Amino acid sequence: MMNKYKKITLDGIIFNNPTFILVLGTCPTLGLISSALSALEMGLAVIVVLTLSNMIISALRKLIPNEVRIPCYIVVIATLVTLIRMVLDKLLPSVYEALGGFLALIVVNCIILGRAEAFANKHTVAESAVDGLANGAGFTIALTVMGVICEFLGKGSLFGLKIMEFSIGLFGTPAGSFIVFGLSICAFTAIIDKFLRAKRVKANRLARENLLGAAQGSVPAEKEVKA
Amino acid sequence: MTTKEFFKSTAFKCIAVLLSIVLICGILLTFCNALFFVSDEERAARAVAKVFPGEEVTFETDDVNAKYSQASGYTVNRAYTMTGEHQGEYLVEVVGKGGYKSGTVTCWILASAVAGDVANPGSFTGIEKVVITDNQKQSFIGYITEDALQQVIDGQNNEGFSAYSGSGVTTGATFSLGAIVSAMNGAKTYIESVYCGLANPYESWTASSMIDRTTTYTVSGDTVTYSIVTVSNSPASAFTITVVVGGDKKISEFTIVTDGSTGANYSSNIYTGFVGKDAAFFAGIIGENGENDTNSNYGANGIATGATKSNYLCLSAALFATANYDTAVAEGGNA
Repeated sequence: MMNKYKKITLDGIIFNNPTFILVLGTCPTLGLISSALSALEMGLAVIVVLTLSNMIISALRKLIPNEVRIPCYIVVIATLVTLIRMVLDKLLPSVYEALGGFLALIVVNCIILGRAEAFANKHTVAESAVDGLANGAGFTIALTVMGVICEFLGKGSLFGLKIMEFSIGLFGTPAGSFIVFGLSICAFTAIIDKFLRAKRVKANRLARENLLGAAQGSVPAEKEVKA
Repeated sequence: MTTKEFFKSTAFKCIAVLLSIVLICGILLTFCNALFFVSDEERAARAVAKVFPGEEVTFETDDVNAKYSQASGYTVNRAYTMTGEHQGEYLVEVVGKGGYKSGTVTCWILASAVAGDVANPGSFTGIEKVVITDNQKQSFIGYITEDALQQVIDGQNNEGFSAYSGSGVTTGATFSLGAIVSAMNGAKTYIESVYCGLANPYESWTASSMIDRTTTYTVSGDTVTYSIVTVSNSPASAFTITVVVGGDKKISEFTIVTDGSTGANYSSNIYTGFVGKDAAFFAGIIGENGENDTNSNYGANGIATGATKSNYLCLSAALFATANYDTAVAEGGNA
């Protein structure tokens, strides 16, 4: 049971990271990563909407006919986004102003609808909630990391705090965000590839040792292979 | 299909489920809207808190005077009269136009002024603070520092506020700062007109939309000499121009006293052929009331482009001077 949730979590944050691997939610990514704080705030808003929408859609999955599932998902997601906007406008107006139009655009964020269609309508409420949290966290981490890079290079600051006078204006613009986004995808993919290759090599080596061990009558390393 | 079959069909189930979800969501949002509604008073209090951080202040909400709230360079959205410790100060939310890619910058501007009316006019003292709250399309708005804004505020002169003419303000966000300067000048004009009783005396004159209240003129024989102060036209700041119009209603002298263009490159592109021209010539370029502020007619009249905004201000001044010759002679001057 725990392995299932662990897999969902690791998939959402790392192996199927919605930003770096699936390249979803590009619009807010390019629009908001010029500021680390805005990126983090957007990520947190997406976590809330994604988790709640996944849970609601999962709970209603047996009631909603297949023919009208997409309109139903959109209505649920739009309601949640409107709700978030109301709450932020009332309780956290500075966040509401910082996110601007991108907050409303969460309605059409591919990650939300994508997870509803690909995961929530096939899994239990608890699994969908974990999936929403994990994918939201993956999106948030990706945005915040790129936000830190863009803000540091573009404004010489981190989360609004001035670090240095030197800055490169390009990285404060969507064009600079695009460059950082592309390079981040390269770096993330390279790291994941390296990790998966190392894992495969290790598995192959252990399998070979098992075969050799079995052939020579020594103790097999099956447990190690399973691990 | 019978009625019974319809109620058992997938179509009915789809309609029922979809409508139910819409209905439940609608009810939820209605309830939440009532719970999280942000009133105008609360929004005003938030804005005031940005201008007076950590300070308890009192104010009265004023109706925006529609007559003075709209101009080519700005729109005044809200206005408040401060009371208590900040008596004599006015807070206005102004949208400055003419930013980068024709975008806008929204600012809250706190200004002090001596109140008055037409019979006993007051005066505009100066801007105390500018807080930028919103913008459209201004990619480099982050370059506008508080120091730069303070320099603009400190540089107030007869033409109002200027970002370029000798002010030495350099930001790297020329157009955004131009929009902010437009907002500041708009706030000044609005407060002067509404609270100080200093309405523009040229309101009823022809082509006066770009002419500032501080413009003066003298009449000597059949010659009218204007000292025209224009409003700003972002990114160009206000110009002061001496225009002499003779009895033939043609310009005999056109001297730029204060150049509001953003630099030497633009100054060299300002039209120089004003002398000898009459109102019909200028109306042919920018319209009878100066309504055509695009540069579509410039090339046809031998006016180099590259200083569109400055040229429009100079042409507006020329049109104003020539088109209002008869009115000026009849009034007899005001300098």
